[in-house]
Amino acid sequence: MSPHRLEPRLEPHILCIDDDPVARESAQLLLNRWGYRVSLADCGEAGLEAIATAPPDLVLVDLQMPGIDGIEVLEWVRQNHPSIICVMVTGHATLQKAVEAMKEGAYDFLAKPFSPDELKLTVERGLERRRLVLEAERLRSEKAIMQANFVTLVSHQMRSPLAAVRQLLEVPVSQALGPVPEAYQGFIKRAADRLDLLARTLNAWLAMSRLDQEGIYSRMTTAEMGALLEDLVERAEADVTAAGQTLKVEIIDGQSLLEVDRESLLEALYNIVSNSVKYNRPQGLVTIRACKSPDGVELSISDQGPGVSAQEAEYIFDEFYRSRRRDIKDKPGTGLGLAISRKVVRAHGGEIKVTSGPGEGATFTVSLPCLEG
Amino acid sequence: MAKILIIDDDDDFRAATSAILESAGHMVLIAHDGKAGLEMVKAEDPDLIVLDIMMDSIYEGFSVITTLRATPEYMDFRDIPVLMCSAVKQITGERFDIPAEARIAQGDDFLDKPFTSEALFNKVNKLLQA
Repeated sequence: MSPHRLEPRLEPHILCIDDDPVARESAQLLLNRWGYRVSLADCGEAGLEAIATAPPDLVLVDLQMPGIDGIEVLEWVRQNHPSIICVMVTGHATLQKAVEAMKEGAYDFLAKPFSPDELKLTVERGLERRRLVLEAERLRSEKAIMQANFVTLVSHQMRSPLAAVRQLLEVPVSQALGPVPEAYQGFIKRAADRLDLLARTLNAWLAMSRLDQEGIYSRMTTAEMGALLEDLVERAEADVTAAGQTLKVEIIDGQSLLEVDRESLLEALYNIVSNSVKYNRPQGLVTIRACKSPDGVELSISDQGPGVSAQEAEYIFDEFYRSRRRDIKDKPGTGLGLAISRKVVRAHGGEIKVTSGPGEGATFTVSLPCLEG
Repeated sequence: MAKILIIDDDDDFRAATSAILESAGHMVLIAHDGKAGLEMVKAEDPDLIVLDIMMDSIYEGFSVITTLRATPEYMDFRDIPVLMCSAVKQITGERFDIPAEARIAQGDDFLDKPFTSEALFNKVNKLLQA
C-alpha cells in the first residue's frame, strides 16, 4: 500500500475457522507474514459470531467440525454476506464433500496437507474475486444514485432555464415595451405555446420518474370520497367552463372513506377530467359520477367526444401514447397524463379502464378500495 | 404606482419581470441574492417584494423571509408584502409543496415560474391593496 494514500486502507481481513489448533495457528502465521489481518475461531458457532461482529473479506473454513460444520458456515455466509469469499479446507477423505461445497457457492477448496504456496495463491485469487464483486456492487449502487440524481438534475438544470426563456417571451407576448407589429404576434404566441407544452411535458415526465422512484406512500391520509371530489370539482370547474362545456357531478355514498395520497390522486383524477374536456364535443357535457361498489368505490368521468376504439383502449394509458386519429392528433398533449393517472391509481390498489363505442363518448372508470365502515 | 423589489439570482428572470412591472408604471429595484435584497429593503423600504425561493441555496428565499419577518433589525419592514415564486415546485426526495411552505414562512402569496403578465399583475395588485 502506498504511504501517500490519503485514506488509509486496511489490509484484507481473513478469518480461519478450524477446530484443529495446529492448522489454525500455522495458517495464521503464514497469513500474517504475507501482510493479512487474521482472526481465528475454533468452531462453526464462534465463526458465525466472528463474521457477524466483524465481517472479514475471506473465510478459510474447515469442512469437518463438530456442531456447525463448514457447509453450514458456507450456507450462512452465502445468505447473509454474499460478497465474502469462502475457501473450504478439507482432508482427503472428504474430497467429495468439498465438491459439494463448491456447488453450494464456495469459491475454492484446499486439500490438506497443502503447501504455503497453494494457500497463498488461493487466498490471493479469492481476494481478487472479492475486489471485483465489491467493485461491481459499488458501480451498481452508483448507477442507482445517478439515476435518482438525474431527475434532480433535470428538474433544476432544465426547468429553470426553460422557465426563464418563457418569462423572457412574456415581455413581447404582453407587449410590455410597446406594441409588437401584428405580423410578429402570431409567431411569438406560437413560440410561447410550444414552450408551455414543453414545460408541461417535462413536468409530467418528472412526475412520472418521481412516482417510479418514490412511489406515493409518503403522504397517505384518510379522506372522504365526497370531500375529495369537491376538491376535484373546484380544480376542474374553471377548465370545463373555459372550454364552453358543462360539468355535471353525481355523488352517491360520498361518505365512503379512502386511504389516499390526496395530492397525487387529485392530480390523477384531474388529468382524466382534462383529457375529457380536451376531446369533448363543443358545448359537451363532462359527467363525474361516484358510487359504492362491492369492492370499494367507483368513480367515473364521461365525455361526449368521439370515443375510444377498443384497439386504442389497450394503449391509451401507456406512456407517450398519442392517438393517431386526425381529429385527435392535432390537440397538444404530453402523452403522459393518463399514464400518470394509471400509475397513481394502481399505487392506491385500484384500477382504471376506459369504455366507449366510437362516436358515443368515452367513460373512464376508476375503482379504488375503501376503508371498512 | 409602487416601488417593487425583485430578489432573484437569474438575470433573465429579473430582466423580464422588471420589464413587465415597469410597463405598468411601477418603479422596480433589483437584487441578485438574499443578502443584497435584505440590504436594499432597509435602504429603500419597498412597497412589495418579489422573491425567488431557490437561489444559491435551496432555501435562500425562505431564510430571507424569516429574517424579514422575525428579526428586530427588520422591525420596521416586517409588514412589507412578499410574493414568493419558484420554477421548481417540488424538490426531489422531499416533495414539499412550496405554496404551503411559503405560507408557513409567512410569504403572502406564491406564483409559479414562469408566469404570465396577467397572473403577475393580479397577485401584485392584490398584495398592494391589502
